[in-house]
Amino acid sequence: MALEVKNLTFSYARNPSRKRRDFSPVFAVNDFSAVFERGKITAVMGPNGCGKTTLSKLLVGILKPLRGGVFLDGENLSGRRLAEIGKQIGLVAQQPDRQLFCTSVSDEMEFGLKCLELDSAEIEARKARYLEYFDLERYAETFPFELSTGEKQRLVIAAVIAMKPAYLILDEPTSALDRGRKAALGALLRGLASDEHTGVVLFSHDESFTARYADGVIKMEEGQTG
Amino acid sequence: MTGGASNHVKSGGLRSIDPRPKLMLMVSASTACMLTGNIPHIAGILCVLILTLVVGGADMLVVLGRIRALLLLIAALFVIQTIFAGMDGLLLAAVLSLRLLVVVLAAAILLEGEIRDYLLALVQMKLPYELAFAVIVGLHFLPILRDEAVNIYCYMQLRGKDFKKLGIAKKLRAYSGLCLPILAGALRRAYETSIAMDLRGFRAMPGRTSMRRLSMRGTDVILTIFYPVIFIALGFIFVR
Repeated sequence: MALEVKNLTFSYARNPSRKRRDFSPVFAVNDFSAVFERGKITAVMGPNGCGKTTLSKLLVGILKPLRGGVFLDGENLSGRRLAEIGKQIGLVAQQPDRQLFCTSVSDEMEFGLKCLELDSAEIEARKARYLEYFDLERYAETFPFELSTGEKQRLVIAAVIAMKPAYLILDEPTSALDRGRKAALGALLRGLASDEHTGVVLFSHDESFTARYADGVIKMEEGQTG
Repeated sequence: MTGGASNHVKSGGLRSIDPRPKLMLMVSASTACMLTGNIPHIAGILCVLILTLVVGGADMLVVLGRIRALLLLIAALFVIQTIFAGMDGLLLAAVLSLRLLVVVLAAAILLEGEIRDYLLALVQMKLPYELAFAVIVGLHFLPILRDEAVNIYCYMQLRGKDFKKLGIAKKLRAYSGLCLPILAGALRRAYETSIAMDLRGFRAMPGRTSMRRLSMRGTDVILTIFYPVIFIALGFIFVR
């Protein structure tokens, strides 16, 4: 049981750093292969612009690969709708602002849970649990865009984790968190991996965080395994 | 000069025209189609715009690709208005759709040029530099807003919202949910950009000069006069 990436290759239409008329392909992800197992935390690390965010988008199907594929427990994800993939693979992307679309923190937590068609008691239980864990209870009726960056990041993480996906992809999840909240997130991820058998893929620059919590590290350089 | 201009128009044609006739085209076409409710008149304006693109050497396939999403939106608005207003609403829906098409095509013509030239043109037209700069910055942000809308749409689906399974009413309600983060993001970005610009000395000096000046050639002057005149003439021909 794993999320497997085979010879994944992706290129944006044009490299913005090049001249306007240069249409030669530049591979953001180039022949990348890896296996992300369930029950483990795998960190993907690399310098800026090496293709980490592109890879995270490829893993959930936001971007379509030029070559290769993503296999969820052996099944190719190409052709599956994002809404189907999202029920099994949760993505916490880098910018929290783009992942908040409701008028209150409480609604934001419920959004995904309602889409999973859970009963109201279960929705309330999960919402209360994760709002409390991420110290967001007092903001339940607050407009999410009024929160600080760190609080927004915690809210997005809470909303995605509450859906209990089989795999969880987090792109720079600690960028706006203080030391205490990083530790709380790390402990939660460890718990998810060991107790719920969730496969966690962590895209991060935070070496101390990944060294402490990740079971394995994949180095990435210029779109390839380094 | 570099800028946000397209590169599918051959040198010459629309690209070689001064920005001011294009701005005049945009203003006169949108004003004319808003003032008239006459379908042949608006269709005539639309024909002038299409002719301008074709004669100006624009690659129509690229232009259509660029405005495809807006065309679909206009078509959807036409259908929705016709459904809810019945046959009585058909004429109204046609007028509304044609007006929107005119605005979209006029904007497409405006895109056939260097963005920074528009800034120079607006300043030379005595528009305060701050305002002209704000307009140009706003234009630069449009593609970013589009990308953000696509991203948010993806993230909504990843949180389980299956747009394909929704009925029309629920789908429209779900799409309206996209507006909130885009609007909130745009407001926040405008606020943060203005602060960043002030902190980097924008408006710190009393005036700003430019090495380059745009000069209108004979063709540019003729075109600047031609567009409002032809739109008014079309009005006289069709509206009686």
